[in-house]
Amino acid sequence: MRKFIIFLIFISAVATSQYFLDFVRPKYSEVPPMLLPAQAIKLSDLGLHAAASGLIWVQAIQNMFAPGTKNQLMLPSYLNVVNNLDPRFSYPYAFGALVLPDLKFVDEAIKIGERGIRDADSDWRIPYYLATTYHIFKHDRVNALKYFDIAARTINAPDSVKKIALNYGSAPDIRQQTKQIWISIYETSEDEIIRERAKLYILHYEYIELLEKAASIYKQKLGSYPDNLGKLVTSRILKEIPEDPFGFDYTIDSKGRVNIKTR
Amino acid sequence: MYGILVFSLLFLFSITVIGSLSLGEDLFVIRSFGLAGIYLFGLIIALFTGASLMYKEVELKTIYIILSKPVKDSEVILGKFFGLLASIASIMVLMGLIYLSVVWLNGGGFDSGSILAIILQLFEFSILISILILFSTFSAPIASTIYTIVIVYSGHLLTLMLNYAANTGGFQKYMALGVYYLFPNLEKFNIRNLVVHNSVITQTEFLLTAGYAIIYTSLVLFLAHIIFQKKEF
Repeated sequence: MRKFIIFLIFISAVATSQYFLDFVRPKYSEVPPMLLPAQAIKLSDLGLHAAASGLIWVQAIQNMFAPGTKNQLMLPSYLNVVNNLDPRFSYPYAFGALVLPDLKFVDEAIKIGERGIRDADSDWRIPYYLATTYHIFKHDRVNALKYFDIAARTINAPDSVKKIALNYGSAPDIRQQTKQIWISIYETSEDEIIRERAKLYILHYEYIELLEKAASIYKQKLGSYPDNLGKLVTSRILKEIPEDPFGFDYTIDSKGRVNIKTR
Repeated sequence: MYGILVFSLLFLFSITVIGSLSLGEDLFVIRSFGLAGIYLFGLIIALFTGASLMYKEVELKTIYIILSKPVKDSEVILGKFFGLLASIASIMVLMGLIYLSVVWLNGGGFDSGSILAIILQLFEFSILISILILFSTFSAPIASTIYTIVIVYSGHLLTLMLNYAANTGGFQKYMALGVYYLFPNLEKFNIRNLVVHNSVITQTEFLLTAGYAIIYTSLVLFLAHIIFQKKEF
C-alpha cells in the first residue's frame, strides 16, 4: 500500500511538472517540417514503400491542418513524396487536385491530378476533382468536360457523378452547375475537410442566389436594381447581408448580378 | 523476446488510431502499417534470438552435451534452424491473426492477400535465419546481428546493382551482376506493396519465390554445416 501511494505521488508529480513545463515554456516560432526526398526514403525503408507512403500521408495531413500552421505551402511537396513512394496510392492525387487550387497551386493540382489518372489505382475522385479544378479555377470547360466524363466512366463512380457528367454544359446557368458539382462532392465525400469545403461553396452560391432574388424584388418595387447591397437592408427586403463563408465581400452590378468583389 | 512480442501486438491494435488520422484512407494505412509491423517486429525477434543461437551453445559449453549423444552435426544445425523458424512462424501466426481481425473490424473483410504476403515473409525469414546460424557458428552475437542487418538492407536494394550493371561495362558490370545473383534478393519476397492495392502475384511467381528461398536456405545451412564440422570443441 505504501509503495502504491509513493507510486501515485510520483505519477502525479510527473504529470504536474509536465503541465507546468508546457505552461511556462515560451512558444517558439514554428520550424518547418523536414521532408526527405522519396529516393532517400526508398533506400532505407526495407521495401516497405506503401507503409512509408502512408506515414508521410498521415504526417502531411497532421502538419497541413494543424491549427495556426503556416506549412500549407509544403503540401505539393508532401503529396509528391507520398506518391513517389507509392504511385498507386490514389487518394493523395484526388486530394491534391481538389485542395491545392485553393492554396494558389492550380498548375500543381492539375499536374498531380493528371499523374494520378495515369499511375494510381482506378479512383473516380481523381478525374472528378481535376474536372472541378479545370471548371472553377481555369474556366476550361473542355478539359472539365473531359475529366467529368472520365470520372463518370470509372468503376464505382456514384450515380450523382454520372449525372453531373451528362448534364455538364447543358444547363444555361454556369453558377447553378458549379453549385451542383459542390453538392455532389458534399454527398459523395467521406472526408470532413472536403465536405466542409463543399458546404462552404454551396452556402456561397446560395447566398448569391438569395441576394439576386432580393435584388429582383427591389427592382419590382422601385424600378431599378440597387447600386449597392446595403439598399436591400434599408428597403427592408433583407434583414442583413449574409457574410460570405470565404470571407469576401459581395457586390452587385447594374444588371442585378451578384458576385464577389474583386478589388 | 516476449517483450517485443507484446509490443508488436500493442502496435497492431494501435494502427486503427493511426488509420483514423489518415483522412478517410484508414484501410490503406491500417494494412500497410500492419504488414510493415509484422515484418519489422518479426525481423527484430529473428535477429536477436538467432544471432546467439550457436554461439551461446559453444560459449556455455552445452554443445558438448548435445554432441556426446548420437546426434550428427548436420542434425544440430537443422534442429536449430527448424526450431527458430517454428518459433518465428508461431509468432507471425499470432500477429497475423490479430492483423486480420483489425482489418476485418475496420471493414476490410477477410484480407486473403495479406496471408500470402505473410507466408512469403516467412520464406524470407528462413533465409535470414540460416544466415544468422551461419554467422553464429563463427562470430559473436553482436557481429552476427550487424552482418545480417547489412545483408537485409543490401538484399532489399539489389535492384540498384542490376541498374548499375546495366549502365556500366567490363569487369565492374560482371562484379555487379555477381553481387546481384549471389546475394539473397529479399525484395522478391516483398508483395506487401501490391497486397495493399489488392493485387496478387501469379501462382508461378509464388512457387518460384518459394523455391528460391528453399534453395538459398539449403545453401547457407550447408555452409554453416561445413564451418560447424571444422570447429574443434
